[in-house]
Amino acid sequence: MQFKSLQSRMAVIFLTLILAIQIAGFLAIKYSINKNSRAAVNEQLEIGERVFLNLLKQNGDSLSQGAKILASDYGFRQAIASVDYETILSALSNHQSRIGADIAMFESSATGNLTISGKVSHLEASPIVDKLIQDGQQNGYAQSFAIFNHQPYQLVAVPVKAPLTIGWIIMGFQIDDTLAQNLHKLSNLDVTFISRSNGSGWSSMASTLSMSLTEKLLDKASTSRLTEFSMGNADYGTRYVSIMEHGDESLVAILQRSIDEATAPYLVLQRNLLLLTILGALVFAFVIFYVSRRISQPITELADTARKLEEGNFAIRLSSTREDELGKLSRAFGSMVDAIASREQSITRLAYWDELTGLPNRASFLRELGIALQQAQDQHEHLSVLVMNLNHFKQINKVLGHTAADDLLKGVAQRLQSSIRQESDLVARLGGDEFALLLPKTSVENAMRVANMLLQKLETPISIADQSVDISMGIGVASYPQHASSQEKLLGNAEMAMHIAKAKQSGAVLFDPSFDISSQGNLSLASELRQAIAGNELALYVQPKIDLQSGKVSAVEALIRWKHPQKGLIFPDAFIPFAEQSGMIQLISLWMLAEAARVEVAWRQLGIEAPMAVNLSTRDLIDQDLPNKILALHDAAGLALGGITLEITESSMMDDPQRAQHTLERLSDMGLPLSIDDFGTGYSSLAYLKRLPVSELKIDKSFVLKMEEDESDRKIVRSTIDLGHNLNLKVVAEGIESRAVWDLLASMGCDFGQGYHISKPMPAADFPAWLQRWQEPQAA
Amino acid sequence: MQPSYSRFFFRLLTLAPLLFSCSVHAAELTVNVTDAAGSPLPDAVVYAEPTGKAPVTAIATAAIEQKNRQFYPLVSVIQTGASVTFPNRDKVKHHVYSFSPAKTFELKLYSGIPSTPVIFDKAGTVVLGCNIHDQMLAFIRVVDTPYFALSDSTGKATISNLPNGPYTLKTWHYAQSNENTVAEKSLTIKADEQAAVKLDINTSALQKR
Ligand SMILES: [Cu+2]
Repeated sequence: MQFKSLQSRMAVIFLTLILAIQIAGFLAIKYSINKNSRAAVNEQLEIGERVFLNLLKQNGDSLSQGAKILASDYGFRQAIASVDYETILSALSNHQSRIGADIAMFESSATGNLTISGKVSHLEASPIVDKLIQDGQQNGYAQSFAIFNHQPYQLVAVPVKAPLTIGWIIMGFQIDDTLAQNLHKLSNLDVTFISRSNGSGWSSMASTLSMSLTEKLLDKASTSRLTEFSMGNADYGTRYVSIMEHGDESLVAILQRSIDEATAPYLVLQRNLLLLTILGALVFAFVIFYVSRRISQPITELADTARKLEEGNFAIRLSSTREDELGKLSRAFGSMVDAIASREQSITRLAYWDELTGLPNRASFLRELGIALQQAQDQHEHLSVLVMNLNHFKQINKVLGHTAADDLLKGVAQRLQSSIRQESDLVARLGGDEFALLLPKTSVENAMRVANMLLQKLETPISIADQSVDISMGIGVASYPQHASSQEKLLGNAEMAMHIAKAKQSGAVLFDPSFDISSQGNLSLASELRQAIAGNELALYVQPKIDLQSGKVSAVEALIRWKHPQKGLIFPDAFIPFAEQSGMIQLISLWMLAEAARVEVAWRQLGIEAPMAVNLSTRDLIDQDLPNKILALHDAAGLALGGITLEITESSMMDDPQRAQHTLERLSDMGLPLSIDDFGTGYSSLAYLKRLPVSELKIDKSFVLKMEEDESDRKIVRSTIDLGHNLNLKVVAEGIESRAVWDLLASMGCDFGQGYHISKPMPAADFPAWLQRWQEPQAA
Repeated sequence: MQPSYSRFFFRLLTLAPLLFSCSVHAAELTVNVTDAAGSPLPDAVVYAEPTGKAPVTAIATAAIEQKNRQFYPLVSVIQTGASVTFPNRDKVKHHVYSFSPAKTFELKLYSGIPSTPVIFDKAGTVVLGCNIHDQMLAFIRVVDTPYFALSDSTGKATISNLPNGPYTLKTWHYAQSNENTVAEKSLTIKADEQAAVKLDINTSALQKR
């Protein structure tokens, strides 16, 4: 039995209790029966004694009745009067047999003559008769016991009156088996008479017991007077009734009752009781077992349920119809399970689902990506991940408001969701304005195709709150097994590619290990770049900017090249995105500014007046200390302000327009001319543009390159020039590759231009010689 | 009943002058009978036997009645040879008997007065009983002298007309410790004489009436 369980513990406790009660009850009853039966035996013996004494009295009475009848017989008295002993004797024996007496005697008062009918000698009888008569003279009647010839007798003496006493009749019954049997019949007791006389030992006279038992009793009774002892395998309650005790003569009646016999009916009762006790205990055990089971089973069920709950199994229904506390507990537990299940569900949703768009979130995407990766590894398949980030979302958020921005995100989510090719493709929102697309079984080429398809789909403006909003995004693409084999790495690579795409404004970009500044290759690139900055491996190139009307060089744009000791000349495309990613761009910018200042100072000494325009990156613009650094730089080089101008791309301001504006204002206040690079590719509003302290606009070369053939480009260029002029800005066109374009731009009123037609970028040192050559035809 | 009872005494009285006339020198003997403690003892029979030959006198008769299942009187004294009648005054019958050696007789169930009286011809004590009624008991003392008397309630017995001369005075009582004893006393009568007799009485044997 498992004592650990509530059920068995309850059962054991209650069973022990009931058994203890039953046993105690049984013992008490047994004790009581024993006591009662002994008391009953004692009582029977007491009654037996009374019955016995009564029987003796009755015998005495019947003796005396008989004797009196004889005493009053006229003929008998006549015989006495006539001293006729023959007649007296015959009358005595006649009467003796009539009443069944064992002895009859007559003693004459006149003569003292004793007539005896019976087996007693004169010698024995005389003294007893004399004594009896002496007793009788007081009351006219006497009774006693006597032992004649070792036989006990009950004797009665009555006087014969005529009318005075003339003699005594003595009659007697022998105390024998008949008397014992009579007494046994009346009282149901065993009776034994024992006597002793004349110094002889005790002997038994009569008994209802068997010979052998009588012998045993005689043994016991001779030595002691125990009220209870056993003879022949049975206990007897015993009572001694002394009938006669004078001198050395004694007569005792021993009354006995077998205790076992008296207990016998109780024993049946006791056995029945024992049976009932056992039966009761069994019934009780069954009931206890059932009840404790009924109590403990729901608890066990609850424990099982709790265990299942622990394992995360919420598909549990607990319904109890019980009305008691356990039912309440069960129902409370059930509703608790429901509550936990629903909470878990909402936690899971929060954990794996994006509330706003209803798309899976980053965690969910990673999980799915992990599963897909595993599958791809197992099946030797390709897998691609796209990470998309909306361009200029912060600005949209600011301009349109939070709610509209949320609506926009929802719209983008819907657009993406509706663009996916198949069920297994998974769209997720990674956070903010960043989305991801999982493309199982998709190679690099196909992934790029999907990316371009998405870019195309997003060209259609999205309608939110009665407005159409143009959106664009940077997409980074990374694939298994080419780029990474873990989901974090793969997603991280795609994100890196996405950042590059955004920085380069180039739509979709496939991941390249060089993007990864933390990768082994890029770590060495970083140290090489740092080495390049310190070791003067960087070179300043310049591209001239001319006055389109006069053809005079008005300024130069500073460009950077890396003269790698092993790889040779490296173009900025190969390391600037990495420098932007890693933050090393600021060092490069400072190097550029310092070099530009040094070159400019040298040119001034040569008499060359050509301010140098240096490009600033987003990171430079958010550096609040930039103006001081530039100022210190001018001081160090001994360059007057105005020798260097700054170019800022539209998009570089858009990440943090407020800060950018603040920095630009300080630079402008210091007297540094500013121009906006790549104008027309960003989303800067005119209102913002108006507030900027710039003095020049540079039209992006993408418009200029095809303006000869493309009417709309031409219109854009023309209106941009007009816009610039209206805002009191000088306008610069980039990408002039032919004289025709130069002329066209000049006719449009564009102020300055640069491009291959004028000059490719050249080392700064080559510029004075080029300028010489350029000026010659002009001069000519 | 009362008239017949008084008539019995009357007859005794009529006998007295007759005795006186027979003897010129006659005296009266008064005997005081007491028990051992000195208390007066009634129903004692006192009789005087002359030392010489007894004078021949007429023998008086006696009657013992049965009334209310009792003998009356309890004790009677008669001279040897006297006849006694047993008149039954009860409505029930009686069976009067005696097993006494002085006179054994029985009068089987009868009513009224039996036709023949019983003659007591032997001196001694006769105990009377009734076979029907065990409690009925009476004593008759038959004496060989005409001079006798019964003590009254004061224990006094008076023998009148006793001629002068020597006598043996005997006293008997039914409840004497030894029933066969007779107290004897010799005396000579010359004139009126007083005598006292003390008897040893078994009080338990005294009949209470
Ligand atoms: Cu009678």
